[in-house]
Amino acid sequence: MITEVNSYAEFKRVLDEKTGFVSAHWDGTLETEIAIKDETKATIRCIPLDAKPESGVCIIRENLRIEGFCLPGLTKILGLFTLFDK
Amino acid sequence: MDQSYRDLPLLINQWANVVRWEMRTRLFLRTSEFLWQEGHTAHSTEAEAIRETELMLDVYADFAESFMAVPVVKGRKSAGERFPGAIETYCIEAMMQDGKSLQAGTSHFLGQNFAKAFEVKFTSKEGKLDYVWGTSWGVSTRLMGALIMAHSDDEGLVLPPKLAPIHVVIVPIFRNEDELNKVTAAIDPIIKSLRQLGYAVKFDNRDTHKPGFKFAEWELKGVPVRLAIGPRDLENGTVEVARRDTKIKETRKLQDIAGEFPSFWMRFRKICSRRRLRSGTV
Repeated sequence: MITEVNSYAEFKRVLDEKTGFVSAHWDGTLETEIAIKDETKATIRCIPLDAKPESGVCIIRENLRIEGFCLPGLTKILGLFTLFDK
Repeated sequence: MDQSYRDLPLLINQWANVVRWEMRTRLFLRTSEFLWQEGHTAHSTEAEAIRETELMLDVYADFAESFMAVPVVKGRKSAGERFPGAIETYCIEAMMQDGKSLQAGTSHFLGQNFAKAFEVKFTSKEGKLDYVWGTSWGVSTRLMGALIMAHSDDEGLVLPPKLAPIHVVIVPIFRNEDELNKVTAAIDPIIKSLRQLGYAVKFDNRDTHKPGFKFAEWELKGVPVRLAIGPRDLENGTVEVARRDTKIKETRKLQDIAGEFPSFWMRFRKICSRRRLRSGTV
């Protein structure tokens, strides 16, 4: 159900070939969320509660090293009706 | 509204129908009108409100997994997808058979943001006025969409046993009334013992429809187990068992059948989770 990736190329390949959840490092910014969504239609679903903090490199901004950041789960978007949206 | 800390926590839960303008509706997932369950709570401390938020997330996750047989990931939303005004939005995300995720429930820690906006204060133990700490959480009829998308197939619904209104349907095979009576007499004690064990049993003895029609109809409705029994089974003391989840048909001993149901349920749960995993990795 969850595939861990370490690069944007790998990330896009999983979305094309396998789908399901993709776990990847991300710098935690809205800009990166939007950049990923615009290019791949994948959205950040959540930062799993059981994810262990782990150092890594943001898949988009590869020069940005993230220390001790959680692994956010990403997957292709499905109906973004949220229960409490405006 | 000023209250004392003694009046807190205030825990409100309600079921309500909601109507929204939606550009594109999607059956069960995003409908113009839907039924939801929503909770709103006010607490005297931050820690207590966070505990409440996490408690409800666990309630939703447990319901999805134990009752709906839908595995979920529990997590926090990113800032971009957080509920406006919330400090933290927790969610459960379920993986559907098409490899896409579905948000199945949310629980929000609101901090004092809404209390400040609506002037909701209380008198603390120390005698000072302070804003309450809020949470809100909810699930909706969207869960039915999740249930359908997680388990069902081209033949119709596949219902997990804990939510199925009928656990087992029994279809007698007969050509005339005499054969029906004989089958009924043989199956009657089995129906009684199944009901005693707590299973909801439907005996479909309609003479207006052929067995094949009934099979398809109950498959469409997602009944977990079907038993078919005819004159030849009576001679052999057997019954045909068809499982909705695996679609496996087997001939079993009639007298043992009631005792085998717990194993059907166990396997159903395992298969659900395996199918879920498979759909994510195909």
